Order: sequence, then structure tokens, then C-alpha cells
Amino acid sequence: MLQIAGLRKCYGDFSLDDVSLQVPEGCVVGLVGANGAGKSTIIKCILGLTQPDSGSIRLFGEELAGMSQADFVQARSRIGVVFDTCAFPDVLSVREAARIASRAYPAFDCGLFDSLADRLGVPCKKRVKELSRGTGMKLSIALALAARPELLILDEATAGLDPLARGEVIGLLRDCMLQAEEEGCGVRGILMSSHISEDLEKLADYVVCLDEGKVVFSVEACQITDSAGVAHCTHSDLERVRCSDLGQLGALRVLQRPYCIDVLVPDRQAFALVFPDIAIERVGLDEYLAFFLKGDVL
Amino acid sequence: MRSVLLSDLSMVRKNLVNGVFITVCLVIFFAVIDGNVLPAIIIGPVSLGYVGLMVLFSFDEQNKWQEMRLALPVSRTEVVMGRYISILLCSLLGAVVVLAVIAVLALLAAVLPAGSAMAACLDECNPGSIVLMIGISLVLSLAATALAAPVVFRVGFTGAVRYLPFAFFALIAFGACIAKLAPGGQGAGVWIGGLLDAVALHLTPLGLGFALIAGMLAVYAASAALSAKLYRGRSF
Repeated sequence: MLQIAGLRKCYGDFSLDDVSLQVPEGCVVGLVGANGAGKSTIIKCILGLTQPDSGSIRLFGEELAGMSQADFVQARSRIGVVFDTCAFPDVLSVREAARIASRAYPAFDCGLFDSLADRLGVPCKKRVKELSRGTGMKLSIALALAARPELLILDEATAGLDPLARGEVIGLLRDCMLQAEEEGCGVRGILMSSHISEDLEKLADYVVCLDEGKVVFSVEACQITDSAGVAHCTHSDLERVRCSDLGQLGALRVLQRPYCIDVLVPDRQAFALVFPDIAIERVGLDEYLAFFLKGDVL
Repeated sequence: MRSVLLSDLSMVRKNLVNGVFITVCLVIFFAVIDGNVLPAIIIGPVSLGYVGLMVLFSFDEQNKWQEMRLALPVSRTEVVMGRYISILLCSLLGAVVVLAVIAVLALLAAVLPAGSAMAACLDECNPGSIVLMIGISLVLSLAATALAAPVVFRVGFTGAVRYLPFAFFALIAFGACIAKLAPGGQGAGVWIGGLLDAVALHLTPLGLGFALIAGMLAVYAASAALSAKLYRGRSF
């Protein structure tokens, strides 16, 4: 649905450097990284809000560069977008915001919007300025989904939501993906930038991590949650690991802790077979990120 | 385009309602103070056009609305054209409001005793002079947009750019004051008057009013084309 290859964009002291990623059909791709890592810049490039210096962006199989204005508008009618704030002007009522979206998106489904607003608890009679930040975000999500997009781009869309509401939104997105899979239409891909690793762990099929404009890793989410692990080593344990076949591969990353050295291993079960005496446990996305952003290669 | 117009008009609606009320009050006030409603006609299109210009561009900078709108399936050209049409509609609403005020004043003058202040302020009113004043007013209102909008679409409605429309009107107002108050110098006033007289040799006030509106619309359209070109090259 979306392929990005060798994307570069320079802004003064920041540069997006040779970024490649893709959102395959039926998949949710999570984009993670610190503030200023370049997540929003990638999204802006996809939406045509900024022009990349070089690289290729293919939307629904069509190259973005050289696409006519009319074709790009047509492509955007297949994309639902949610930014990190409710972007609709605060003087508008919820109903007016829906009317504007319905005029813009040819496939906008007013009935679906009403049911989504009802499900998410968005009061249609209120003005945008009267909504809490969380409800404003729910409104943005309901509007994006009611447009019946094929690709959904979420830029920190769950940031303003409380844990319960986040769970509700994640559930809704998962339902949309499942429904699309069954019916063959609807949301067939999601690109989701988020700081909240819990959301990505629940929803993402792939995780792409950015740091200072570069892709640090791009892996299947199940590789992190199902296979990888963190081993809590002493210095002598670390020497044994370093001398083993696992250490020779150069794929292990270490993070110094106050009382031990944590080692990120790609296959925790294989590691446990070789080193049954070293404590190893499942690794969360936050910890996985920390190994890549703050850790060292063994 | 419908989506852009709908969003612009929905955003400016509340401010326009307030603007209409203030415009009506100001037109009546200046008509009574001056004893002539004609100069007060200028207030209508200028004030409501200014409201449209300031309010709409201000909302663009709020809460990433501009980015959100460009993420909708709407082209940048449609956004620019929609904005120019919205501001034109605001200015035209101003013209309609002053015409309505004049109509109400005329009705009141008809029922009040002859020689009343109400009747006196309508003495110089005729269709030609009204259209001429509306033409001048629309020229001022649309010129402010034609001047400011390309800059706003290129760099955003931030910093000094916010004061551009105000600076334009301030320059016109101060220029008129200086021309009138300078010792022995009604220079600018006389020059403009002379120019209008020269044109009036060939055109009636009605024709001159329509010529002014047509000329300004051509400039306005050129400014819209320039804004569209500049906006297409802008990065966010």
C-alpha cells in the first residue's frame, strides 16, 4: 500500500537520512523513536505537506513524485489521517466538522460516523472547543474512519487518551482491520507513529524505529514479543556469552544496569538452552528500543 | 472546493454576525455625524472583508488545521481559490449590509417629517453615487487581500505578516488625513478628485463604480493565481 525507499529530507540541523519502510496490505506498521527522530517528517512527506529532497514514495503502487495534483487528491481520498491534536477549528461543531469531512471524502459514511461517535462517546451537538483533548482525538479518529480509508495514518493519535480510551481506540482499529480482511474493503493498512509502546505491542505487525533521522531497526513485532529476550548477566556471564557462538555473531546488544549487565538476545529460548543458569525474560518494546538507542553492541 | 468553502464560511460565521452588527452601528453613527451616508458606505465591505481575512488566516495557524486540511482530498489550488472566494463573499456581505441600512434609513426618512436629520443624510444618495462608493470600498477591501494573501500563503500568518492588512488600511487612512490636513495641501485629495473627474468625463458614477469593481476583480484573480502558485511550493 505504501512503499518508501531512500527518503532524504534536510531541515537546517535535522536530516532524514535514507529512510526506507513499507506498509504491506493487511498490516499495521508502528513508527517509534524519540521526539525529533523524524516520524512526523516522514508522515508529512507521504501527505505531500513537505517535499522530500530525494527518494521514492509509492502510494497504492503509484509514485508520488510526478503525480498530478488531481491524482494526488484522488490518492489522498483513500487515506485517513489523524494528527496528535484534534485539528478541526474549535469554533466548529462536531456535526459541522463531519459535514466538512463528508464534502471532502467521496466515500465518507455519515451513518458510520454517527455510530463511531456513539461508540466512542463523542457528543455530536458540542463544539470542538468544548471537547476534552481525549474526546477531540476520538472525534478525529471517528472522522478518519468514517471516510472509509484504505490506508490510515496516525501521528501520535493516542497520545491524549487515557488508558481506557486508548484500549477502546486500539480495539476499534483492530476491529476495522479484521472487518476489512473479511469484507475485502475498508482499512487495509495502518502507519502509526506513537510514543506509547503498549499500543504498538497490541496492534503493530511491524515496528520501525527511527533515531536522528535514520532507521535503527525494522522488525516484525512478533520477533520482539515472541522471540527476543533480555538476559541479566554478571561480568563473568557476559564473558561466557561473548565467547560463545551467540556472542560471535555480533548481534547481541548490551545495556549497563546498576547491578548487572542486560543483554538483548534475538532468540531467548535458544539462549536459555545454551545458558540455563542465566536469568532471561521476555523483552518489552520500550526495553528493546533502549538497547538500540542507548545500548552498545557486544 | 465545496469542502473548502464550507469550512471557511463555517469558521467565519460567528465573527461575521458580530461584524454585521458593528458595521450597522458604525454606518449609522458616521452617517449621522457627517450628515451624509455616502462616505459611511465604505465601512461595510472594508470591515467585513477585514474580518474574513483576519479570522480565516488566523484559524489556519491553530491546531494544525492547515496541515489537516491539506491532508484531506483537497488540492492546494482549491484551498487558495476557496479562501479568495470566501473573503470576496464577506466583502460583498458588507455591501449588502450597507445597502440594507440605506434602505431602512430611506424608509424611516419617508415616514419622518420632511427636513429631518435622517432625510438630510440621504440627500446626496443616488444609485450612481452608491455604486461608486461600494466600488471604492470593494477596491480597498479586496486590495488588502490581494496584497496580503500571497505573502500569507507563502510564509504563513505569523509574525509581522499579521499586521500587513492593518498596515495597508492604516496607510490609506493616514494618507487621506495627511492629504487633507497638510498646510495648503489637499494634494492627494485634489489629485484623486481630479483623476475621478477625468474618468467621469467618459463614465457616469454608476459606470465608474462598475469599472472599479471589474478592475479590482481582475487584480484579485491575478493575486489568487499568484497565491496558488506560491502555496503549491510551500512546505510545512
